[in-house]
Amino acid sequence: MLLLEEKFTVYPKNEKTNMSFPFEVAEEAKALKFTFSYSPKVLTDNERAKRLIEENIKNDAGEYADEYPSWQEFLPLKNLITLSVDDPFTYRGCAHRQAEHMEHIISESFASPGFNKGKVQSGQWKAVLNLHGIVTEKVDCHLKIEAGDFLE
Amino acid sequence: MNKKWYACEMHCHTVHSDGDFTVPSLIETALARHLDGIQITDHNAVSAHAEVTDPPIAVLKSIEWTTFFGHMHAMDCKKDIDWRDAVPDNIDEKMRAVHEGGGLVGVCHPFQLGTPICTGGRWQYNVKDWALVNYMEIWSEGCPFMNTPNRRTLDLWHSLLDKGYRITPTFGRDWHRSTRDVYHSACTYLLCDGEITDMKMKQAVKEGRTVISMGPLFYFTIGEKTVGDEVSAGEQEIEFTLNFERMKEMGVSEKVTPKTIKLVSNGGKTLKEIDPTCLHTKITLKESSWFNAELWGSIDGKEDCLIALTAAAYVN
Repeated sequence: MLLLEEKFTVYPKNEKTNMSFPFEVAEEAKALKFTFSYSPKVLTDNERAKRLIEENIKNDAGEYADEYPSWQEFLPLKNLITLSVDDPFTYRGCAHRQAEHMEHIISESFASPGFNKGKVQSGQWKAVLNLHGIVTEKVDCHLKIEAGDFLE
Repeated sequence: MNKKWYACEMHCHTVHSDGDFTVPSLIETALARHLDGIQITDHNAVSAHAEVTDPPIAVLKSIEWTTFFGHMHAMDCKKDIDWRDAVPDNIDEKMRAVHEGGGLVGVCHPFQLGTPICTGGRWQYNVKDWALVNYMEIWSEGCPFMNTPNRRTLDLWHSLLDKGYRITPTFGRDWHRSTRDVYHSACTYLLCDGEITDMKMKQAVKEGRTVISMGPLFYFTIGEKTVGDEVSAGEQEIEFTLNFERMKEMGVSEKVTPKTIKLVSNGGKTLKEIDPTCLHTKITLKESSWFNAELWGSIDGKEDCLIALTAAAYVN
Protein backbone atom coordinates (compact mmCIF):
# COMPACT_ATOMS: atom_id res chain seq x y z
CA MET A 1 0.00 0.00 0.00
CA LEU A 2 1.38 3.35 -1.00
CA LEU A 3 1.69 5.63 2.04
CA LEU A 4 3.50 8.58 0.51
CA GLU A 5 4.96 9.58 -2.82
CA GLU A 6 6.63 12.92 -3.50
CA LYS A 7 8.64 14.31 -6.36
CA PHE A 8 10.43 17.54 -5.63
CA THR A 9 13.55 19.56 -6.35
CA VAL A 10 16.17 20.84 -3.91
CA TYR A 11 18.74 23.58 -4.41
CA PRO A 12 22.12 24.62 -2.95
CA LYS A 13 20.27 26.97 -0.57
CA ASN A 14 18.75 23.83 1.04
CA GLU A 15 22.19 22.39 1.83
CA LYS A 16 22.76 21.54 5.53
CA THR A 17 19.05 21.28 6.24
CA ASN A 18 16.67 18.35 6.81
CA MET A 19 13.39 17.77 5.01
CA SER A 20 10.81 15.94 7.04
CA PHE A 21 8.08 13.77 5.46
CA PRO A 22 5.57 12.63 8.09
CA PHE A 23 3.29 9.73 7.18
CA GLU A 24 0.63 7.71 8.98
CA VAL A 25 0.85 3.98 9.48
CA ALA A 26 -2.81 3.20 10.15
CA GLU A 27 -2.50 -0.30 11.51
CA GLU A 28 0.47 -2.41 12.44
CA ALA A 29 2.10 -3.21 9.13
CA LYS A 30 4.41 -6.11 8.40
CA ALA A 31 7.07 -3.97 6.79
CA LEU A 32 7.77 -0.53 5.38
CA LYS A 33 9.69 0.07 2.17
CA PHE A 34 11.41 3.39 1.50
CA THR A 35 12.49 4.05 -2.08
CA PHE A 36 14.47 7.21 -2.66
CA SER A 37 16.46 8.47 -5.58
CA TYR A 38 18.05 11.76 -6.51
CA SER A 39 19.73 13.08 -9.61
CA PRO A 40 22.27 14.20 -10.66
CA LYS A 41 24.82 12.61 -8.34
CA VAL A 42 27.97 14.15 -9.74
CA LEU A 43 28.79 17.75 -10.61
CA THR A 44 30.15 17.71 -14.15
CA ASP A 45 30.52 21.48 -14.58
CA ASN A 46 34.24 21.86 -13.83
CA GLU A 47 34.11 25.64 -13.61
CA ARG A 48 31.54 25.40 -10.84
CA ALA A 49 33.50 22.56 -9.17
CA LYS A 50 36.68 24.65 -9.21
CA ARG A 51 34.90 27.54 -7.52
CA LEU A 52 33.29 25.34 -4.86
CA ILE A 53 36.50 23.45 -4.07
CA GLU A 54 38.61 26.61 -3.87
CA GLU A 55 36.03 28.21 -1.55
CA ASN A 56 35.94 25.03 0.55
CA ILE A 57 39.73 25.01 0.98
CA LYS A 58 39.87 28.76 1.65
CA ASN A 59 37.15 28.55 4.32
CA ASP A 60 38.35 25.40 6.06
CA ALA A 61 42.11 25.59 5.71
CA GLY A 62 42.54 29.37 6.03
CA GLU A 63 46.21 30.28 6.29
CA TYR A 64 47.12 26.64 5.51
CA ALA A 65 45.33 26.65 2.14
CA ASP A 66 48.64 26.62 0.25
CA GLU A 67 49.48 23.23 1.77
CA TYR A 68 46.61 21.57 -0.13
CA PRO A 69 46.77 20.10 -3.62
CA SER A 70 45.08 21.77 -6.59
CA TRP A 71 41.30 21.71 -7.01
CA GLN A 72 41.41 18.92 -9.62
CA GLU A 73 42.62 16.49 -6.94
CA PHE A 74 39.24 16.78 -5.21
CA LEU A 75 37.11 15.95 -8.24
CA PRO A 76 34.43 14.83 -8.63
CA LEU A 77 32.18 16.75 -6.25
CA LYS A 78 28.99 14.88 -5.42
CA ASN A 79 25.58 15.64 -4.01
CA LEU A 80 24.90 13.75 -0.80
CA ILE A 81 21.39 13.21 0.53
CA THR A 82 20.79 10.54 3.15
CA LEU A 83 17.52 9.10 4.43
CA SER A 84 16.80 8.74 8.13
CA VAL A 85 13.64 7.36 9.71
CA ASP A 86 11.73 7.89 12.97
CA ASP A 87 8.93 5.63 14.18
CA PRO A 88 6.19 7.11 16.43
CA PHE A 89 8.50 6.73 19.43
CA THR A 90 12.15 6.78 18.43
CA TYR A 91 14.89 7.13 15.80
CA ARG A 92 15.09 4.00 13.63
CA GLY A 93 18.35 4.73 11.81
CA CYS A 94 19.87 6.17 8.68
CA ALA A 95 21.50 5.01 5.49
CA HIS A 96 24.58 7.19 5.38
CA ARG A 97 26.26 6.27 2.11
CA GLN A 98 26.78 7.66 -1.37
CA ALA A 99 24.22 5.70 -3.42
CA GLU A 100 21.77 7.94 -5.29
CA HIS A 101 19.17 5.16 -5.69
CA MET A 102 18.18 3.41 -2.51
CA GLU A 103 15.62 1.00 -1.19
CA HIS A 104 15.33 0.25 2.52
CA ILE A 105 13.05 -2.11 4.38
CA ILE A 106 12.16 -1.97 8.05
CA SER A 107 10.27 -4.85 9.66
CA GLU A 108 10.17 -6.82 12.87
CA SER A 109 12.49 -9.55 11.66
CA PHE A 110 14.68 -7.60 9.24
CA ALA A 111 15.98 -4.12 8.55
CA SER A 112 18.25 -2.84 5.81
CA PRO A 113 21.78 -1.89 6.98
CA GLY A 114 21.69 1.33 9.00
CA PHE A 115 18.18 0.74 10.37
CA ASN A 116 17.03 -1.03 13.52
CA LYS A 117 14.64 -3.90 13.05
CA GLY A 118 11.54 -4.03 15.26
CA LYS A 119 7.78 -3.77 15.20
CA VAL A 120 6.23 -1.45 12.63
CA GLN A 121 3.93 0.34 15.04
CA SER A 122 0.89 2.29 13.97
CA GLY A 123 1.06 6.05 14.36
CA GLN A 124 2.93 8.91 12.79
CA TRP A 125 6.29 8.01 11.28
CA LYS A 126 8.76 10.38 9.62
CA ALA A 127 11.18 9.98 6.78
CA VAL A 128 13.79 12.71 7.15
CA LEU A 129 16.07 13.56 4.26
CA ASN A 130 19.43 14.95 5.33
CA LEU A 131 20.82 17.31 2.71
CA HIS A 132 24.54 17.06 3.52
CA GLY A 133 25.86 18.45 0.26
CA ILE A 134 24.11 20.05 -2.75
CA VAL A 135 26.73 20.98 -5.33
CA THR A 136 24.72 21.06 -8.57
CA GLU A 137 22.33 23.89 -9.42
CA LYS A 138 19.37 21.69 -8.58
CA VAL A 139 18.69 18.10 -7.58
CA ASP A 140 15.52 16.20 -8.52
CA CYS A 141 14.29 13.84 -5.85
CA HIS A 142 11.72 11.05 -5.73
CA LEU A 143 10.60 9.55 -2.42
CA LYS A 144 8.15 6.68 -2.11
CA ILE A 145 7.01 4.94 1.07
CA GLU A 146 4.96 1.74 1.02
CA ALA A 147 3.57 -0.63 3.62
CA GLY A 148 3.29 -4.33 2.91
CA ASP A 149 5.05 -7.64 3.10
CA PHE A 150 8.27 -7.18 1.18
CA LEU A 151 10.22 -10.08 2.60
CA GLU A 152 10.47 -13.34 0.77
CA MET B 1 45.09 -5.26 39.54
CA ASN B 2 47.55 -5.67 36.66
CA LYS B 3 47.45 -2.71 34.31
CA LYS B 4 48.23 -3.40 30.70
CA TRP B 5 48.33 -1.43 27.44
CA TYR B 6 46.11 -2.74 24.64
CA ALA B 7 46.22 -1.87 20.93
CA CYS B 8 42.88 -0.50 19.72
CA GLU B 9 41.25 1.12 16.69
CA MET B 10 38.86 3.84 17.80
CA HIS B 11 37.07 4.78 14.56
CA CYS B 12 35.48 2.05 12.39
CA HIS B 13 32.68 1.95 9.82
CA THR B 14 30.74 -1.01 8.50
CA VAL B 15 28.12 -1.66 5.82
CA HIS B 16 25.65 -0.15 8.29
CA SER B 17 26.93 3.20 7.03
CA ASP B 18 29.47 3.70 4.21
CA GLY B 19 32.09 1.12 5.14
CA ASP B 20 32.83 -2.01 3.14
CA PHE B 21 33.34 -4.15 6.25
CA THR B 22 30.58 -6.37 7.51
CA VAL B 23 30.71 -6.60 11.30
CA PRO B 24 32.36 -10.07 11.18
CA SER B 25 34.89 -8.99 8.52
CA LEU B 26 35.81 -5.87 10.53
CA ILE B 27 36.47 -7.99 13.61
CA GLU B 28 38.44 -10.54 11.56
CA THR B 29 40.59 -7.80 9.98
CA ALA B 30 41.16 -6.21 13.40
CA LEU B 31 42.34 -9.56 14.75
CA ALA B 32 44.75 -9.90 11.82
CA ARG B 33 46.10 -6.45 12.70
CA HIS B 34 46.83 -7.65 16.24
CA LEU B 35 44.25 -5.26 17.66
CA ASP B 36 42.83 -6.06 21.09
CA GLY B 37 39.82 -3.77 20.81
CA ILE B 38 37.83 -1.69 18.31
CA GLN B 39 35.17 0.95 18.53
CA ILE B 40 32.35 0.71 15.96
CA THR B 41 31.32 4.23 14.99
CA ASP B 42 28.96 4.06 12.04
CA HIS B 43 27.65 7.33 10.64
CA ASN B 44 24.30 8.12 12.29
CA ALA B 45 23.48 4.44 12.81
CA VAL B 46 23.71 1.90 15.62
CA SER B 47 22.28 -1.11 13.78
CA ALA B 48 25.74 -2.78 13.64
CA HIS B 49 25.69 -3.15 17.43
CA ALA B 50 23.10 -5.94 17.32
CA GLU B 51 25.50 -8.01 15.19
CA VAL B 52 28.22 -7.99 17.84
CA THR B 53 27.76 -11.23 19.73
CA ASP B 54 30.53 -12.82 21.78
CA PRO B 55 33.35 -11.17 19.79
CA PRO B 56 36.94 -12.48 20.13
CA ILE B 57 38.18 -8.92 20.81
CA ALA B 58 36.66 -6.05 22.81
CA VAL B 59 34.08 -4.13 20.76
CA LEU B 60 32.91 -0.76 22.02
CA LYS B 61 29.52 0.20 20.58
CA SER B 62 29.27 3.83 19.58
CA ILE B 63 28.06 6.14 16.82
CA GLU B 64 29.63 8.89 14.75
CA TRP B 65 27.26 11.82 14.60
CA THR B 66 27.80 12.89 11.02
CA THR B 67 26.20 16.28 11.18
CA PHE B 68 26.28 19.26 8.86
CA PHE B 69 28.75 21.14 11.11
CA GLY B 70 31.11 18.49 12.42
CA HIS B 71 31.60 14.82 13.14
CA MET B 72 31.42 13.69 16.75
CA HIS B 73 31.57 10.31 18.47
CA ALA B 74 28.99 9.50 21.10
CA MET B 75 30.75 6.58 22.83
CA ASP B 76 28.50 3.96 24.43
CA CYS B 77 25.59 6.38 24.82
CA LYS B 78 22.41 4.67 25.99
CA LYS B 79 20.16 7.57 25.08
CA ASP B 80 18.80 8.27 21.62
CA ILE B 81 19.71 11.89 20.87
CA ASP B 82 18.81 13.56 17.61
CA TRP B 83 21.96 14.49 15.67
CA ARG B 84 19.97 16.17 12.89
CA ASP B 85 19.14 19.41 14.67
CA ALA B 86 22.68 20.02 15.94
CA VAL B 87 23.69 23.55 14.92
CA PRO B 88 26.83 25.56 15.77
CA ASP B 89 25.31 27.14 18.89
CA ASN B 90 23.55 24.19 20.53
CA ILE B 91 26.39 21.67 20.60
CA ASP B 92 27.02 22.01 24.36
CA GLU B 93 23.40 21.03 24.96
CA LYS B 94 23.80 18.00 22.67
CA MET B 95 27.05 16.97 24.37
CA ARG B 96 25.39 17.25 27.79
CA ALA B 97 22.65 14.94 26.54
CA VAL B 98 25.30 12.38 25.48
CA HIS B 99 26.76 12.51 29.00
CA GLU B 100 23.27 12.14 30.51
CA GLY B 101 22.93 8.99 28.41
CA GLY B 102 26.10 7.63 30.01
CA GLY B 103 28.19 8.33 26.93
CA LEU B 104 31.50 10.02 26.26
CA VAL B 105 32.03 12.71 23.62
CA GLY B 106 34.82 12.61 21.06
CA VAL B 107 35.59 15.30 18.48
CA CYS B 108 36.59 13.69 15.18
CA HIS B 109 39.13 15.10 12.71
CA PRO B 110 38.28 18.76 13.54
CA PHE B 111 40.44 20.25 10.77
CA GLN B 112 39.44 17.95 7.92
CA LEU B 113 38.08 19.83 4.91
CA GLY B 114 34.29 20.05 5.21
CA THR B 115 31.37 20.52 2.82
CA PRO B 116 31.33 19.79 -0.05
CA ILE B 117 34.63 17.85 -0.20
CA CYS B 118 33.88 15.84 2.95
CA THR B 119 30.40 16.85 4.05
CA GLY B 120 30.36 18.18 7.61
CA GLY B 121 33.94 16.99 8.15
CA ARG B 122 35.27 20.32 9.43
CA TRP B 123 34.40 21.08 13.06
CA GLN B 124 32.38 24.33 12.99
CA TYR B 125 30.69 24.06 16.38
CA ASN B 126 31.03 26.83 18.94
CA VAL B 127 31.89 24.78 21.99
CA LYS B 128 31.35 26.93 25.06
CA ASP B 129 32.49 24.38 27.62
CA TRP B 130 35.31 22.14 26.38
CA ALA B 131 35.02 20.15 29.62
CA LEU B 132 32.16 18.37 27.82
CA VAL B 133 34.67 16.89 25.34
CA ASN B 134 36.30 13.69 26.59
CA TYR B 135 38.54 12.95 23.64
CA MET B 136 39.81 14.36 20.41
CA GLU B 137 41.14 12.61 17.33
CA ILE B 138 44.63 14.11 17.24
CA TRP B 139 45.51 11.85 14.35
CA SER B 140 43.10 10.91 11.63
CA GLU B 141 43.92 8.47 8.85
CA GLY B 142 47.69 8.71 8.48
CA CYS B 143 51.02 9.91 9.76
CA PRO B 144 50.56 13.37 11.28
CA PHE B 145 53.74 14.84 9.91
CA MET B 146 52.45 14.33 6.39
CA ASN B 147 49.13 15.90 7.16
CA THR B 148 48.18 19.55 7.80
CA PRO B 149 44.85 18.86 9.60
CA ASN B 150 46.51 16.59 12.16
CA ARG B 151 49.17 19.22 12.92
CA ARG B 152 46.45 21.84 13.46
CA THR B 153 44.56 19.44 15.76
CA LEU B 154 47.69 18.90 17.84
CA ASP B 155 47.97 22.70 18.28
CA LEU B 156 44.29 22.92 19.28
CA TRP B 157 44.76 20.10 21.81
CA HIS B 158 47.78 21.85 23.35
CA SER B 159 45.84 25.11 23.64
CA LEU B 160 42.94 23.33 25.40
CA LEU B 161 45.33 21.59 27.83
CA ASP B 162 46.82 25.04 28.53
CA LYS B 163 43.34 26.22 29.55
CA GLY B 164 43.03 23.33 31.98
CA TYR B 165 40.79 20.97 29.95
CA ARG B 166 41.80 17.34 30.31
CA ILE B 167 41.09 16.02 26.84
CA THR B 168 42.27 12.55 25.87
CA PRO B 169 44.06 12.19 22.52
CA THR B 170 43.10 9.34 20.20
CA PHE B 171 44.07 8.08 16.76
CA GLY B 172 41.23 7.17 14.41
CA ARG B 173 41.99 5.38 11.18
CA ASP B 174 38.47 6.23 10.05
CA TRP B 175 38.48 2.64 8.89
CA HIS B 176 36.02 1.97 6.06
CA ARG B 177 37.88 -0.77 4.15
CA SER B 178 41.27 -2.41 4.22
CA THR B 179 42.30 -1.56 0.68
CA ARG B 180 44.55 1.49 0.22
CA ASP B 181 45.12 1.38 3.94
CA VAL B 182 48.65 2.18 5.12
CA TYR B 183 50.68 1.92 8.33
CA HIS B 184 48.88 -1.17 9.54
CA SER B 185 50.48 -1.04 12.97
CA ALA B 186 49.22 2.48 13.83
CA CYS B 187 46.77 2.37 16.71
CA THR B 188 45.62 3.92 19.97
CA TYR B 189 46.99 2.09 22.98
CA LEU B 190 44.63 2.07 25.97
CA LEU B 191 45.68 1.28 29.53
CA CYS B 192 43.21 -1.12 31.17
CA ASP B 193 43.01 -2.78 34.56
CA GLY B 194 43.33 -6.49 33.81
CA GLU B 195 41.85 -8.01 30.64
CA ILE B 196 40.47 -5.54 28.12
CA THR B 197 36.67 -5.19 27.77
CA ASP B 198 34.55 -2.62 25.98
CA MET B 199 33.82 -0.86 29.27
CA LYS B 200 37.51 -0.80 30.20
CA MET B 201 38.27 0.82 26.84
CA LYS B 202 35.73 3.49 27.73
CA GLN B 203 37.20 3.92 31.19
CA ALA B 204 40.72 4.33 29.76
CA VAL B 205 39.51 7.12 27.46
CA LYS B 206 37.61 8.76 30.31
CA GLU B 207 40.71 8.72 32.51
CA GLY B 208 43.04 9.95 29.78
CA ARG B 209 45.11 6.78 29.57
CA THR B 210 45.98 6.68 25.88
CA VAL B 211 49.00 6.61 23.62
CA ILE B 212 48.68 7.18 19.90
CA SER B 213 51.36 5.55 17.84
CA MET B 214 52.52 4.57 14.38
CA GLY B 215 53.30 1.19 15.93
CA PRO B 216 55.58 0.97 18.97
CA LEU B 217 54.15 1.09 22.46
CA PHE B 218 55.67 4.15 24.15
CA TYR B 219 54.79 5.58 27.54
CA PHE B 220 56.27 7.03 30.70
CA THR B 221 56.06 6.30 34.40
CA ILE B 222 57.01 8.36 37.43
CA GLY B 223 57.12 5.86 40.28
CA GLU B 224 53.60 4.42 40.40
CA LYS B 225 52.17 7.24 38.26
CA THR B 226 51.73 7.21 34.52
CA VAL B 227 49.89 8.80 31.60
CA GLY B 228 46.62 10.42 32.75
CA ASP B 229 47.68 10.74 36.39
CA GLU B 230 48.33 13.74 38.60
CA VAL B 231 51.94 14.06 39.72
CA SER B 232 53.69 16.33 42.20
CA ALA B 233 55.60 19.44 41.22
CA GLY B 234 59.36 19.54 41.66
CA GLU B 235 62.14 17.25 40.54
CA GLN B 236 60.93 13.87 39.31
CA GLU B 237 62.57 10.86 37.77
CA ILE B 238 60.81 9.70 34.60
CA GLU B 239 61.17 6.25 33.05
CA PHE B 240 60.15 5.54 29.48
CA THR B 241 59.07 2.28 27.91
CA LEU B 242 59.54 1.66 24.20
CA ASN B 243 58.35 -1.67 22.89
CA PHE B 244 58.25 -2.94 19.29
CA GLU B 245 56.85 -6.37 20.11
CA ARG B 246 53.47 -5.96 18.37
CA MET B 247 55.08 -4.54 15.20
CA LYS B 248 57.47 -7.51 15.10
CA GLU B 249 54.62 -9.97 15.58
CA MET B 250 52.70 -8.26 12.77
CA GLY B 251 55.74 -8.33 10.51
CA VAL B 252 55.01 -4.82 9.19
CA SER B 253 57.30 -3.63 6.45
CA GLU B 254 57.72 0.01 7.44
CA LYS B 255 60.90 0.90 9.27
CA VAL B 256 60.37 3.07 12.32
CA THR B 257 63.55 4.43 13.90
CA PRO B 258 63.24 6.54 17.08
CA LYS B 259 65.70 9.43 17.29
CA THR B 260 64.43 11.66 20.13
CA ILE B 261 62.05 11.64 23.05
CA LYS B 262 60.58 15.07 23.74
CA LEU B 263 58.86 16.03 26.96
CA VAL B 264 56.32 18.65 25.97
CA SER B 265 54.45 21.03 28.28
CA ASN B 266 52.30 24.17 28.29
CA GLY B 267 52.27 26.12 25.05
CA GLY B 268 53.45 22.98 23.26
CA LYS B 269 56.97 23.87 24.38
CA THR B 270 59.62 21.18 24.64
CA LEU B 271 60.89 20.91 28.23
CA LYS B 272 63.62 18.44 27.47
CA GLU B 273 64.92 16.20 24.69
CA ILE B 274 66.21 12.77 25.56
CA ASP B 275 68.12 10.18 23.58
CA PRO B 276 65.76 7.18 23.19
CA THR B 277 68.59 4.76 23.91
CA CYS B 278 68.56 6.17 27.45
CA LEU B 279 65.06 5.56 28.77
CA HIS B 280 65.14 7.65 31.90
CA THR B 281 65.77 11.23 32.95
CA LYS B 282 65.24 13.75 35.72
CA ILE B 283 63.01 16.71 35.17
CA THR B 284 61.67 19.63 37.19
CA LEU B 285 57.89 19.91 36.86
CA LYS B 286 56.17 23.23 37.36
CA GLU B 287 53.06 23.53 39.50
CA SER B 288 49.68 23.61 37.67
CA SER B 289 51.12 22.52 34.35
CA TRP B 290 50.66 19.55 32.06
CA PHE B 291 53.21 17.50 30.20
CA ASN B 292 53.30 14.59 27.81
CA ALA B 293 55.91 12.63 25.90
CA GLU B 294 56.44 12.53 22.16
CA LEU B 295 58.60 10.07 20.27
CA TRP B 296 60.22 11.43 17.12
CA GLY B 297 62.31 9.75 14.46
CA SER B 298 62.22 8.43 10.93
CA ILE B 299 59.53 6.39 9.22
CA ASP B 300 60.61 4.59 6.05
CA GLY B 301 63.59 6.94 5.77
CA LYS B 302 61.52 10.11 6.14
CA GLU B 303 63.07 12.15 8.93
CA ASP B 304 61.38 14.25 11.63
CA CYS B 305 58.23 12.20 11.94
CA LEU B 306 56.13 12.06 15.07
CA ILE B 307 56.11 8.32 15.85
CA ALA B 308 54.06 8.31 19.05
CA LEU B 309 52.50 10.64 21.55
CA THR B 310 51.17 10.02 25.04
CA ALA B 311 48.15 11.63 26.67
CA ALA B 312 49.07 14.21 29.28
CA ALA B 313 49.89 13.92 32.96
CA TYR B 314 48.93 16.84 35.20
CA VAL B 315 51.19 18.52 37.75
CA ASN B 316 49.47 19.56 40.96
